Amino acid sequence: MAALENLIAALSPLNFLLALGGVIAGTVIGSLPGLTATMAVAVLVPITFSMEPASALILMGAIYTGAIYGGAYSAILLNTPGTPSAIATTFDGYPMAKNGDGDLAMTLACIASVCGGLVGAAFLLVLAPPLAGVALAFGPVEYFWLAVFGLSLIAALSEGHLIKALMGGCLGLLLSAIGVAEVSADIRLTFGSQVLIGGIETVSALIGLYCVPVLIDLVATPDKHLKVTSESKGIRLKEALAISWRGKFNLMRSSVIGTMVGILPGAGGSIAGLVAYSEARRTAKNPEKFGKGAPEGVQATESANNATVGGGFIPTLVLGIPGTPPDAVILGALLVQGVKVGPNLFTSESSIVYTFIWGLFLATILMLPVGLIIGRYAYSSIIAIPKALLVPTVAFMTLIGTYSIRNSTSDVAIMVILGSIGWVLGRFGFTASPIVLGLILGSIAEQGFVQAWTIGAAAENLIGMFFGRPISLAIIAMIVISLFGPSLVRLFSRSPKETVQ
Amino acid sequence: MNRLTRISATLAAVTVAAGFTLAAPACADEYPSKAISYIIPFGPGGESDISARHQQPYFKEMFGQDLVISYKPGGGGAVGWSQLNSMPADGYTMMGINLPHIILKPLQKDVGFKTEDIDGFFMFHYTPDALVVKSDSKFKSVQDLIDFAKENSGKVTFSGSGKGSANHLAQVTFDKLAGIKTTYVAFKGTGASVQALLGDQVSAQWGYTSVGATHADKVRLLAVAMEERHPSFPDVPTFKELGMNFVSGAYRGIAVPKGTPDDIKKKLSDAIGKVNANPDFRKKMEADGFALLDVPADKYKAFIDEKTPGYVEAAKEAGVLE
Amino acid sequence: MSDAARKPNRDISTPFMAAIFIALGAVVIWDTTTYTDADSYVFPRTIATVMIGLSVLLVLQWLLGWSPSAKDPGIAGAQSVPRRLALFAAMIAAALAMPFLGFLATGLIVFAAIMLTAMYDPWTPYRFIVYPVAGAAIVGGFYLLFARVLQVPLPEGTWF
Repeated sequence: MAALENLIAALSPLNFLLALGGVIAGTVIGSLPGLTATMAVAVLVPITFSMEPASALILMGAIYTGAIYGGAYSAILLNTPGTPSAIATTFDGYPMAKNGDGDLAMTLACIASVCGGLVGAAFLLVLAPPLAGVALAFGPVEYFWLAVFGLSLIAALSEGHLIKALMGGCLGLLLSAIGVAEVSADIRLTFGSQVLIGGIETVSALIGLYCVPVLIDLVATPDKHLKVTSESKGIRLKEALAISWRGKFNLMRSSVIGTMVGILPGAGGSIAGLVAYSEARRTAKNPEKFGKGAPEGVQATESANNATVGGGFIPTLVLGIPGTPPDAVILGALLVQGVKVGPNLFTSESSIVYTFIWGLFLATILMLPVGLIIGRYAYSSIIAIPKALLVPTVAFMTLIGTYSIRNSTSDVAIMVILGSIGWVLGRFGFTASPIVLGLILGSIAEQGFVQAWTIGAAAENLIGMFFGRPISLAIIAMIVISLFGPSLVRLFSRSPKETVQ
Repeated sequence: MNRLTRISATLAAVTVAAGFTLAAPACADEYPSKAISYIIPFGPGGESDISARHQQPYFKEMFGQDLVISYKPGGGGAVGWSQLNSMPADGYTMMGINLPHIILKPLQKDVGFKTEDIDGFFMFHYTPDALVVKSDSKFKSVQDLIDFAKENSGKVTFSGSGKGSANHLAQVTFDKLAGIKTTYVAFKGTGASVQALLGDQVSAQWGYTSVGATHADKVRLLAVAMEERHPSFPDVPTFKELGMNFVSGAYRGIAVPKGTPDDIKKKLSDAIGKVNANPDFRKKMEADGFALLDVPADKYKAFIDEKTPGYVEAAKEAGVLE
Repeated sequence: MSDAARKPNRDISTPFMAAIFIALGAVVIWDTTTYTDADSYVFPRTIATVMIGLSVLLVLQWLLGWSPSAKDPGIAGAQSVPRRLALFAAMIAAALAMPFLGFLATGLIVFAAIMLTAMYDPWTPYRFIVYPVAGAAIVGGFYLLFARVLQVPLPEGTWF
């Protein structure tokens, strides 16, 4: 049988080594803030010219999936998402680490990532051609509402002060508009400054807003970075497996969400994580624990963001429209190799695609032992390194990482300044996450809105454009439920006094 | 301090790994003696990236050195170009350039670079503008589309990549030549613009011939803005054949930081020219819908001067320039 | 937390921050008047207006004494302000010095500076030797990883 042949091809010693090496390299790269999967894959492209297309794909896919997982490390241990996909992992991962459960969070993240990766790869294997239709069903207006859905999480993250959180969100949205507008080409909010023309680079802003405040607070006291309890040794695998089993529905739902969002070109792992987090919080029995170290939060985001890897390959391989920037690099490499993407890839040249998909499965499974070992090592290093070495090391990493994103020293300065502003704002009750959500989702929301408006106006049907399309209505319903659902339930189920708190 | 030892061990391992992948020692005084950094001022996956990726293996094969491709996206290319001249001018750094971008951006506002500051040394191809529809579109010819647009002013929607871009200028020029009014919807990059076309979000797309090549089974080209028909699309008429004097597209090339020695520039220009002349390379590029072009270093300036007026006029028409 | 909630009007930071946000919003709206394309100003103008509205709401809430307590912004006590400022200064100086000193030199100097900033333990002979060596190894290792393996063109420096 052909499927079996492809599976065996994927398991050849060379492919096995490529998958293993790729996952290790990817995990390390992803855990360093500023080093992205895109960059790692781009550097590798020339090497893959001399390889079989399937092996090249396996190597690049393994690095990519490892990097998305590796982003969880710095999110949990340093409150800094190593990749944008891990933004929502900071919400609960870092509080867990602060409470002395960093090792548990790391293991949970590993299990969740493997789970998400497998689900994403399974969809890619079985349903890729029909699912590619999802990417086409999503028009500008759906992207707009999806971004609004992501923004609605600001309310949940407001920590009791909704107005300040919303103001922070607006600030983030405005920050996203700085520079040359991506579609309309106007130069906005630069005030004549050359430095700002390129806009605020998202990853460097993430590093600044999340990591710099942590560093600023670390140097201020002699206290340990993370609380260390006596049992904070080992990987706590049994405990993590038990929690994962209990959270299996959460894991599955988040993985499916991740796959679906991954299919949407341009949406990416950060939105997938945010949507999955929002849904996990909405359906949880104890939503008030979210943001304070709920394991379910880490599980949701980490399974969702790894599921986007498989999901993102669906439009890339079926439509030739890359799902994410790393997919774009991989697509370029494939074109150069003479592989024509399209639905035919899943029939006529099936051996390449199916060998690759099995390779992706293999890489994802290898992520479990690799992740557990590297994760344990990373955690024990972070808690063992004396502060006088930890702080400069992390600070140095933020500098080199930020520089490397666009080879720009201006980005480094913006990162430091933005981080300091973030620290000051934090002192006054404006937390970083709403600002970051605004910054990340701003351009998607704006482009979707402007495009939908233009098309709607041309058809002379603006209301129908924004409120008359089935997928849009479904997303709007989800927004309403996640914003007002809990309070509606409470209103009906409890006495009025209790709802006031 | 056992941990520290382990950390040092890891770092040692990284160092070894680093040494491992180091390029072969650069000892020859022959240029190029080490890898050349090739910066794409856009994100991956666009036409500039794809063409650089096509050049990469041939350059390596012919000159023994790697082209290391990296991305510096932002501001529709402005981030990269505004920093180009502050990069080392030693012949080991070069950056992709695009027309009409480098002509129009500096005219719009101060974007940190001037057209004449860009030291281009080779323009290697162009992607002709093409009017693209989905395979199952009701528009079978350009005339179908014009007829429909005449009766439904503004209702025909075109997706395209960016504003003030080649796609946008094509839409404006076409509207003027055909005497119609259509709506242009700007997307971020060709990929997103194709996605909108395939998803029936818009009626048609202003793209390039390369779109027709990459998505051959799902789209049709109604016409191309070339002097003669494209070899990969012998059945697709040019706008000239349809009575519209419309030949345009996006041109791509490479520039070096100002101050790069002339002899090195000459060598680079020759090298890219040789890649461009490779029959195998030509075949691949043409199959992907690119139209090859040879504008070496000494003809670069004249080329820009020749192209500028047309772009500026169309941009004024489009309202991108005052 | 609850103490602060009862005397919200003494917390002048709230109207102060609101004023800053309102000013920011106004600047954004002023900037949008220079754009040529409607596509470019719709979004920032709307958001800036919303932000100003929220700021006004925040002030109203504060005037009425409804505002939930902000986190205690006290920086005093065991926490060291000079060290915080030193960290910020070192990092911003690194960003500015990079193009001149080159990445490696800047990295080593900044690493040393931040190490001193974050040093709370006494300097024993062991630490005196091991920390700088470890620091140099870390900076050097990362430098090699980025410059050689990932081929990032790190700044070389114009002063050498």
